[in-house]
Amino acid sequence: MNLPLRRRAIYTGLKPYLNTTEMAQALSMWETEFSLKPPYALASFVTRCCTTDELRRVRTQILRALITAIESPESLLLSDPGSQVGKRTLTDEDSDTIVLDAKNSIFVALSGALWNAVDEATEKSIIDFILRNLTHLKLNAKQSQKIKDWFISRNIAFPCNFELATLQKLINLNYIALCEYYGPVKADKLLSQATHAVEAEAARQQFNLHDLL
Amino acid sequence: MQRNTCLTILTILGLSLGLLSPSASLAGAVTSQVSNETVSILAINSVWVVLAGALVFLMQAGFAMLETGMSRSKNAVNIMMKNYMDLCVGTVLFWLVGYGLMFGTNVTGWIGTDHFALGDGDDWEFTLLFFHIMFASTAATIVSGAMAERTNYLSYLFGAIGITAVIYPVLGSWIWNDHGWLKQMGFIDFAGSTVVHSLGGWCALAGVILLGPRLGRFSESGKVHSIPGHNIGMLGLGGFILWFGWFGFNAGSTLEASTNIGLIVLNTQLSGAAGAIGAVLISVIMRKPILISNTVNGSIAGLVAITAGCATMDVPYAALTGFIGGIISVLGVLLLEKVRIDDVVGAISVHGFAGVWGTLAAGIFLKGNLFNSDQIVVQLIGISATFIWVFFAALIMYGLIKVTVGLRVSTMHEQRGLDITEHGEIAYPEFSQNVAYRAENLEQLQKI
Repeated sequence: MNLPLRRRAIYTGLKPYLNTTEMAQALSMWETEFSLKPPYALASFVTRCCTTDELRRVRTQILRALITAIESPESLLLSDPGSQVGKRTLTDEDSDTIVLDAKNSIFVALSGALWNAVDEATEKSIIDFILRNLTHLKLNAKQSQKIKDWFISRNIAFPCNFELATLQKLINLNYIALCEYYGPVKADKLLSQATHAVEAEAARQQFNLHDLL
Repeated sequence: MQRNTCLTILTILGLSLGLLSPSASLAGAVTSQVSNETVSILAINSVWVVLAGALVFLMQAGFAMLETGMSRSKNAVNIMMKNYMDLCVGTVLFWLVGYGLMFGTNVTGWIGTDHFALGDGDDWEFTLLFFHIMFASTAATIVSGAMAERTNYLSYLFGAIGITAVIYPVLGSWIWNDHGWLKQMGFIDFAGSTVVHSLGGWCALAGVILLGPRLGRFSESGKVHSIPGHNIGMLGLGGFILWFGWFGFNAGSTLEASTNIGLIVLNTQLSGAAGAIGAVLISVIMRKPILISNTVNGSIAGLVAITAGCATMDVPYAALTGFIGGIISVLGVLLLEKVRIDDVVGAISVHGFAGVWGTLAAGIFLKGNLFNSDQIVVQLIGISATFIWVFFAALIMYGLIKVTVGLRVSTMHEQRGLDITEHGEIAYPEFSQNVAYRAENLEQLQKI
């Protein structure tokens, strides 16, 4: 595993837990002090990253996320943030706060409802399936990278407002993946359950949920 | 004159009731009443063939119910519509083109050259045309079940046109035209194990190979997901109706109200029953669940198998033919699943494989000429020629449809179900609370 790939894994594992400033500091520290050390040194790296009580409470989870990310295939890793050594903050556009419109926020809710209905391993497989088929959506490189990063680390904010057709295709990809892993009968059932779960939220936002389906 | 007409009608009614009722007493009484009268043989034959044709028409309903029952509820309207419309386009195209190719003057032994869009002729010709329209439509409709749940509706109908206008009549001209080259060789296919059923099976095989399986039927990891039908009652009733219609299919192929009709329907009945028993037994032996779909398919495979030799086989051999046909239907479904071919209703196995077996059995168990190797060779030549013509013609036809108008619907269509995307309807609007797409959502859905 080369340095950029390992940095991507560290970035992927830490992303759900650290803010932009904390991330830049952590990556810089990892690169200068831990990147050449054996994997068991990750524990002390995480300990040093957890500088607040809030982070210390989730220390074990962060460590587990890092190990999972390191063991994950390359396709499931976020894009390389680049070297942070000597930089003060991470200037990733991902950190921008985006105000989502109704269709995008309902898409996020519907996707979440679909994934909540499946076990962790299948969720990972579904995401992997979607990532492998993202090229069919014909998104530009930037959009493609953003949506890819979101799928990999679902706890982060949705990156931008996509067109309805793109969101429809993403739900369809999700459905195809469900068919693949559970069979079409259960896929229909899960889609139905997820639809019912977000119906009220869609109505509250005055959005026609079936525009996504 | 008027009296004669009345007597003819009475005779016809008597004959019909005798066939349709378990009690033959009424038919016997009516027949004896007119036994000394002169009755037009042609009229009786006409009525028999027309009645038999009407029974074959009923098979369309059987196919529609069977296929709908074996599909998911979100595609029920689509299956019904396919069965309904392939009958309609098949009827018109067979009248326009097919009948001429099949039964027109056949100098070469390969195709007929006249009788297209038959408008005038003698009464018997119209009777034959009506009867054979039903057969052509049956051949076309076999395909719909195999290709269910993912085929573009219009593309399917284009396929039905190709089958009834060209593929079926050309094969029919070889086997059923008096000057057809296979008929001249002595090929036996009395009511169409090959002409109708194998043809339907091979067209279906070509279609599903080009279509590919339904979403999720076979996963990348090699797992096979079963997709059960939504209405078992419909499936069972479809089986019963098909079986009933088969009496007209086989016994009507005498093309006359002859005395061997009894043997033909008895052979048909025994073979269908033995087919179901064969399917159940093989399921038990293989420690598989005794599925109603396999059982009904087993009986249909038995009926398909006896269709070629129902008039030329002794009763015990008919039962044996059906029994083996039922076994073949179950094994065929498993084989296709193994090679990842998604045939929704098992049509390739039931009509294609069992049709081949039945055609071979007609040669092996030929009454008075059992196990004659010359006859068996002729049967094998006919079976092979049929496969080569039908499979490759269908492959080219569906291939052309695929590259022009498209054969398969998009994954989005499959997600919504073809009832919504192809027809804008939902089959069970009052009973669809636990689904993603309900009747009230129809107007909100964007066009795709």
